[in-house]
Amino acid sequence: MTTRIALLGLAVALLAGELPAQSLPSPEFQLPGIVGGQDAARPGPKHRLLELIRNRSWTQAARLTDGIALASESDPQLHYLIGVVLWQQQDKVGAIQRFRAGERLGLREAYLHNALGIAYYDAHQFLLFEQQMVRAIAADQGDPQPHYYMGRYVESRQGDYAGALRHFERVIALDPNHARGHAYLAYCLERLDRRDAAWEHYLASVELLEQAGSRFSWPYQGLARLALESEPQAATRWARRAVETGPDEFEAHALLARCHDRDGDLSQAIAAASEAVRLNQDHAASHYLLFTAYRRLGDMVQARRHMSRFQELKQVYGDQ
Amino acid sequence: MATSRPRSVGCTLALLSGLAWPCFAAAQFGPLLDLESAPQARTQEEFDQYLEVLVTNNDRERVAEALDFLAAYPQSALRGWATVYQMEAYKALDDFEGVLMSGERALKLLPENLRALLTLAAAIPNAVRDAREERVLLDQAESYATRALSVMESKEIPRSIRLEDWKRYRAGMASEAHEALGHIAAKRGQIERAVGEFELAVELNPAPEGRQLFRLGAAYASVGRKSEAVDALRQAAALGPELIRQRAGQTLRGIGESAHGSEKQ
Repeated sequence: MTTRIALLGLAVALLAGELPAQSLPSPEFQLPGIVGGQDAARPGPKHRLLELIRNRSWTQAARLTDGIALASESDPQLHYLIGVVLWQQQDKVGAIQRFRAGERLGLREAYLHNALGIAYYDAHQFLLFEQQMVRAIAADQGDPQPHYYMGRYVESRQGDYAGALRHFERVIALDPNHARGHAYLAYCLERLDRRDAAWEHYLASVELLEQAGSRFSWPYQGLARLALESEPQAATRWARRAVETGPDEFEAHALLARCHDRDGDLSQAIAAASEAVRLNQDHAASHYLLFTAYRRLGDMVQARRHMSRFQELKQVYGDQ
Repeated sequence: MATSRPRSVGCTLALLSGLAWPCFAAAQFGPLLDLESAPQARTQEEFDQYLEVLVTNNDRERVAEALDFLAAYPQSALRGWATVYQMEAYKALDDFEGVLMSGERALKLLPENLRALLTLAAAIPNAVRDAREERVLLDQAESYATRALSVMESKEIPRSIRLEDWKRYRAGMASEAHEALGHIAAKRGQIERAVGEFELAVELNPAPEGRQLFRLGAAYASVGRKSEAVDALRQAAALGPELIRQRAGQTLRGIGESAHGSEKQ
């Protein structure tokens, strides 16, 4: 009995407090203005590669880069472009080596530091990532991206929302139309319990995204979370928008399930939580929600199945 | 089924040694995947040189790159993993001394590294040549295998690893640990225990390897469980590789059977 109560307490805390922590987004590496080697009649490999990258002709780009050796090439921009292609081909170590070759050969542009920083982040080399962000900021003080990446790092890996807030405020100061910047600024404010300010920035993010026709579910999820207790119907509407804009994001479906559960609509809650579990079968909170929903419906076979999975996940992952 | 002791238990047990080493431990996530425990390079140059250890396709070069890295960055937080990669390279080169040296060094730096624990547990019984040191070495190998099993049970897994993937890795690694324990037991002449461990190794592995089935079959043969031996050895012969196929064939002939059921009569 004690174990069960402890487990339930843990699950309630998990459902109430769970906020997703995303990793850095897949980067859209900036493409440089080409310097040197210009010959309109016979474009060199750098120009051909740049064109292929712009057209997202990755297979052809990879074929072209195959013959360009790391040690013998002396054009730093070409190394950078090859790094972009290798990254696209999932050769992350190769990409780091090419970005580094570009840097060693004197490339000091913000785009190189941003790319190398992200590659280090991907390799879990956070000290080196931070160094590159500092260099990117020094290379172009008007570029919001390194502040954005630093904010994401400080928020998601260090859990320092006040520290991350400063980075996102800088992003917005440099680019007031940075929709994701507004969304993550709002997220930090939400975590710091500054709910009114969070609401404003989530709304600003939504407005910018809708103007641009971009799909990003995060601010809709934030609005749904903020409205969940005080305006449950509005929360459900925001959560539906989150699912529409991020149909492959389990967090959006899990949130919609919570909203339906809060509304007492068990069948809809089960449908949404099942979708969350289909997208991420390790999502403990959705398994727990399914357990409670099925139990209330009297389907003890399904309830036990989801409780069993929930317990297994807690045992393996702890409270991560 | 009539059971009969094989003609030469010693000969069969000898066949358990010297086989290719298991490879499931390679599935353990390295520092570039294991976010929570990722050691940090202090400088770009340090990380550049670490990557050189990783990227080479040549095992001799990897050994040399690791040595260079360790000499250049003796205080590096990455030296434990560089040593693990060096151990893997020695393993690929069938260099037992190198495996033992680098594996033990890796464990000093990363005491719970499953790759090092399992590699040493599998390598040591193969390396035992001297009867005087046999007891100490086998005890050591056993402690590595049991420590690996204990680490697997208690390890908290980062969320980035999916539960189903972790279960598969863990089953594969547990299979390796039990295979090593079976090999150690066989070396000690504890054949019944060896049978139990090899059975577990085969049972736990989602896709048992020819080597494991061969070891199980040979152990069955050693305790006179002929029909089970024949089954396991025929499966081993079917799975291969060639060395296993040959040895399974020899062992089957040793107990009066052929590699294919239809050839018998």
